[in-house]
Amino acid sequence: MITDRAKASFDRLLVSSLKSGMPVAGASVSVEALKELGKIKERKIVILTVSSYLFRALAILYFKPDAATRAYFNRHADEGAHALGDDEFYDRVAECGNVVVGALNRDLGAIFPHVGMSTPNIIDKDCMQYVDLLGCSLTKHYKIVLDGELTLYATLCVADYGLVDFHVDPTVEVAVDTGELEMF
Amino acid sequence: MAQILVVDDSSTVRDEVAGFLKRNGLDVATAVDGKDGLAKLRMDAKVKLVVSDVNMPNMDGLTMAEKIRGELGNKTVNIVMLTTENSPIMKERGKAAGIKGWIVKPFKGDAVLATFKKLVEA
Repeated sequence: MITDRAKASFDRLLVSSLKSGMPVAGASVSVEALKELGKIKERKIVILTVSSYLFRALAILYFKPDAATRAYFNRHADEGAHALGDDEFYDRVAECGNVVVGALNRDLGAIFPHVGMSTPNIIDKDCMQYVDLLGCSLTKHYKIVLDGELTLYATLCVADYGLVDFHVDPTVEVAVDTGELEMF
Repeated sequence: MAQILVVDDSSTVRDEVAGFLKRNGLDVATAVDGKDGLAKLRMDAKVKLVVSDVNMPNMDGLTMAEKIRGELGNKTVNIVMLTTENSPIMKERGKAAGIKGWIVKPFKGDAVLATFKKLVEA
């Protein structure tokens, strides 16, 4: 069972992770919750999991391998950007997913020290029909708009194996110095 | 002969990190996972700094760090982890393996360049 406040906290943490991890090269980002995904045209997904003995959270990012999406993920190439081949493009989307879910993993890890995170996998969206088999008790959908023009979608699914109850205070920002070298 | 070995299963990260360091005058080689990283280190004893991801297929970065110190007997190369992870348990394991530092992704080259240069020159 996932309590209502835990559901709200999962939602809050993923939205925060999407806002911090999706922008490339200073792009603006807005994240809006959706009741349903509807008939989206995205055919590919990048999927990552954050798991513990209490729950498994799946974060799914839907995308199209079209010119606009390729151009967006090619932005951070800071010298002589070239058109991305399929492998390069998929790797960039996967790494973006890795950064987003990495932030979610760090935030959840502060509450559940035993969580572990998967590496990203890119698969066809049709595979999403099998997520139902996990019996998730929390499913949330999101619309992500980058720089006001590129739209992607995301889904958070959480399956529980026991009582999951935690609360993330929305007024408290957990600061992580990303990119800084911590010397030992 | 490279001064720095960048180990990451993501070509995006390898290109970004290695590209930045090369543009700033450093000699850089890359490896796709811990196993490949160990093999490259065996072949190039001049590497002074390893910058490695943690979660990778075949061999993760912390296991690679342990093998660099143990199996390879290389006690001098500096090792810095570049990862989305920030777990104290992982950091303790890294410290026990003799790693020098930890960076939470995304990579911000300007924030670490001066220290990387010092670690290469040390």
